Amino acid sequence: MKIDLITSMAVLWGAIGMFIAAVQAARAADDDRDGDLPRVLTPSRLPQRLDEAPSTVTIIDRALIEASGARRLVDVLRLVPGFQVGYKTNNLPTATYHGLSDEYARRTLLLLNGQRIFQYSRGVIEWNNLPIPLENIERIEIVRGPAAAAYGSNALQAVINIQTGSAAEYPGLSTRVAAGGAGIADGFLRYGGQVGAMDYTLSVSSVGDHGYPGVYDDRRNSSLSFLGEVPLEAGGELKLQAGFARGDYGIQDPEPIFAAPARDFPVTDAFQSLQWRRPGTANDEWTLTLSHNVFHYGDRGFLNDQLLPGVTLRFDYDIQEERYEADAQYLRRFSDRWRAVAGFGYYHEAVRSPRYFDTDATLDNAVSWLTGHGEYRIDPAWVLNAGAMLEYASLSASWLFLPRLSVHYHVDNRQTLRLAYSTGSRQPTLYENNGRAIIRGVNVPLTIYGVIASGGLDPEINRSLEVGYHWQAARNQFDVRLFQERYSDYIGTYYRPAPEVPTMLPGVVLDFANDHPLTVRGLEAQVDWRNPSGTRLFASYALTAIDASGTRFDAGYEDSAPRHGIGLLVSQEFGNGWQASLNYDYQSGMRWYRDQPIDGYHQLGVRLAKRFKLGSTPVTAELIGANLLGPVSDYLPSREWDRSVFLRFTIDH
Amino acid sequence: MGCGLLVLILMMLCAQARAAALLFVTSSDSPEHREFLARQRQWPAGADMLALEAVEAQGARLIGLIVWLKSAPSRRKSLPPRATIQALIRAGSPTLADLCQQVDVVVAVAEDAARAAEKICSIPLLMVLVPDAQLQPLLEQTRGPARTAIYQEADPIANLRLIRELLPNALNVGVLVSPRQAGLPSLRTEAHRLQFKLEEIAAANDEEAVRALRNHIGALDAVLLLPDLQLINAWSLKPILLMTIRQMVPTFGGPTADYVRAGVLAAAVPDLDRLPAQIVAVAQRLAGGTVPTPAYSEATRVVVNPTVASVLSIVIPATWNAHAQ
Repeated sequence: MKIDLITSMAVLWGAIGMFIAAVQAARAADDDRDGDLPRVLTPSRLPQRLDEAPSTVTIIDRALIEASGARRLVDVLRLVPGFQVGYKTNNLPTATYHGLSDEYARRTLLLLNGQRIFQYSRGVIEWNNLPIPLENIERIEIVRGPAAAAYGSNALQAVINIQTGSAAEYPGLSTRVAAGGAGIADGFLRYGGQVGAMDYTLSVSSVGDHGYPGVYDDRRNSSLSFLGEVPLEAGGELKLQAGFARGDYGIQDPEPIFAAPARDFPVTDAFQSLQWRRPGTANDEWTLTLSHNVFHYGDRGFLNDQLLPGVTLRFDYDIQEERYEADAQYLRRFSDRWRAVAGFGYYHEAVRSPRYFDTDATLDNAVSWLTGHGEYRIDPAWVLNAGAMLEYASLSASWLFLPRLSVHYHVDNRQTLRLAYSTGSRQPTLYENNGRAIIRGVNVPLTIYGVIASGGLDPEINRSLEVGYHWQAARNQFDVRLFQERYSDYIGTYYRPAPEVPTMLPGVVLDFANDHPLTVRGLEAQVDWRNPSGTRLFASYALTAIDASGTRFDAGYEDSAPRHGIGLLVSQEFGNGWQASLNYDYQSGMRWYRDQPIDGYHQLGVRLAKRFKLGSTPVTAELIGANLLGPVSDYLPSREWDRSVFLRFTIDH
Repeated sequence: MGCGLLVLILMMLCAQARAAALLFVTSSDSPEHREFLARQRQWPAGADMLALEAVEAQGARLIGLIVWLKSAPSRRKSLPPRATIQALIRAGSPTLADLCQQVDVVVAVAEDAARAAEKICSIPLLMVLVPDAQLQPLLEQTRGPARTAIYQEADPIANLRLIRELLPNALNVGVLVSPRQAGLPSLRTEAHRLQFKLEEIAAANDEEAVRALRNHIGALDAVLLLPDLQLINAWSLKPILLMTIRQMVPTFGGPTADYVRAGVLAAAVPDLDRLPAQIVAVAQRLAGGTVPTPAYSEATRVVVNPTVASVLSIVIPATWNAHAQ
């Protein structure tokens, strides 16, 4: 057999988002030190070795996802040092890095295969309703620290890049079913095949449970996703991605200001993305991506005629959002010493919600950006990274220059020291800048205000400095870093008098304003270690301290991140298809932004798995238990996750 | 007794007087095989050679080379001298059938030539640079008197040893195995000797290979690709390399150096510069009436993808750099 090298390499490297395969083949013979093959792709958009990336990165691979027994992507983040995961309701999981967030965490950027497709004008990530099944996620790169130099807005604290497998990796039919306590009932079906030159994968999934015990917050998240890859005759590849997800939720407000009945509502999320990747004639590559997504939060609320005598009020939480994005990127290898990537892009987001904006009109925001990053190898031991983004947002009518610089020193083949400075930014959301949350009277002309945003907000900026040490030997690695993050213009909330309008709370409305600077300092360490006997250990530790002594608002910033956090996952292969894993998570006491404090908690989960054949059909059976040390409160003290056990079967037909 | 001895000596002198003739043929459409044939012209030392720019073979377009080995006697007394063959060439494109009448052994380089020679020539045939997968059916269906081969691929055992050299601490080595796979007992023995735990991952075809490997990849320290095109081919190589590189599991082996260029970490492959020595040795035995069993190339070289090695943080010994590709 003859391998078509150029095609093979281009498709291969392209599928994992890397740079110029054909060139690699051509120059591989004389390159004995470094290559364009990525260890990580996310920090700078330039494929880089993990120890030469300008940010600290945690990599969660497929094996860790499986071993964790997680049913939701967001729970995997409990392993990542410095991350906090919490569920104010079962329908509203949230994840933040270094605290400073409420249940609508919006300071972390989520990417799918490098594309920003899941965050809309509110900046919130709908973790439950991602149109990508967990089963199709092969790797997650988490950039711990700001990365606005590469991604701009929302890359304030961290960037999470979900990477799915290539369509060719999922041939044939696979199914997975799970059932157990707490109403867990999940199903997953995937088929991969070829049509002409296109490899494709079509996946359907449905995941549901009863949520918190005794609370009406059931959920059923169903999704359909498609991935197609077409190699082009001229070289390069066309990648099509599309997904649709629908969440059917029950809701019972945890802390109702008004008597809110338990109710059901849907949330839908859909996206389409087309990416064209074309290797150039030399050491370069073009990538052009177009994407579109729509989001609809369909909670039509309820009517209330008890609050005001003779007045029927409508509480309507409906939100519709839509975004278009275009992104072009060019990578070039100038020499063995230096490589660079440059890109520009534009996205337009629009939101319509009479409830949150007191208007039937659609509000919009457009962001344009220009980015560049270069990696220069001074000599075999020293590597320099420099990059920046120039971003303009129509909402704030401001230009932002967001630089990054890092220096890496290879002590030897395994050890590297780094010093990195980076910036993050977050443009104010439309709601923070223009929000006017209201309740309208149905039978009388009455509008009551809960939020009136004064506007004029400046973007939040995070300036981060870190010193790190990285050790790596084959697949074993250890990383530790000391960091300081200085947040300017943090957008906080406060109540201000509003005598001119009827208000939900007596005489006041909620408003947004930039706060004075606050500082987060800490230490983070992670280790990923395997031994030849089939043991794998992934462990992390985070020490976080927030200094908010000079802030305007008494919002409890200092307590918004746990001082200590530990994540641990141990898995062991026993032979004959048996595998067991144990995951443990500890967070010391904290308090989500402007919410009630929660005590420190320990979580323990176990998973026992057996692979076997049913006839000629490979089957994996798993018994998974969560919260085995007892009830856990990860957001509100009054809401506790109970122990749960479920069975899961995976069948490759 | 004395008379008999004299006759024998005379026979030997006659035989020595006529050197064994080998006919190399390969497809004229394959530049790499043309190059390989051109390489044969550089030796053996003192051999008499005659290039054939075109050889008719029932529609197949071949080129050829005849080598008279002075060191090996011909057993075919009726062979004509070189002048006869030259006359044949002058008369137009010689046919493979005609040429096979004039030589002791045919050496068919690559699959097209092997198929043609197997069908047309009834003299001893040595097939080289033919993948194991294509060679097995040819050897099984052959009607000729003496057919043997040198596999295109290196012995998988050499790749197993390569894994041990590069990964001294590795334990679990995954190997995708199809029902028709032969040679596993020797691989198992060598794996045991090298203190590997050989994880045999059964798959009936390339699709199953990808799926089966996916289920095992997390527990493996390395993956060994056997030369089985049913499982490892241009289609399956892509997802296999994607998942192994992503999981930081190095992959070894494959039939040719092309696999290494595509992303396999390292492989032992036949050393084409030294292969002719083995070809001549086998051809001489064939010419002498012995039919050796098909064998792997005795001379191998290691090819390494340094880019993949860098990604996987695997240190390639400095002394290997000369062989890295």
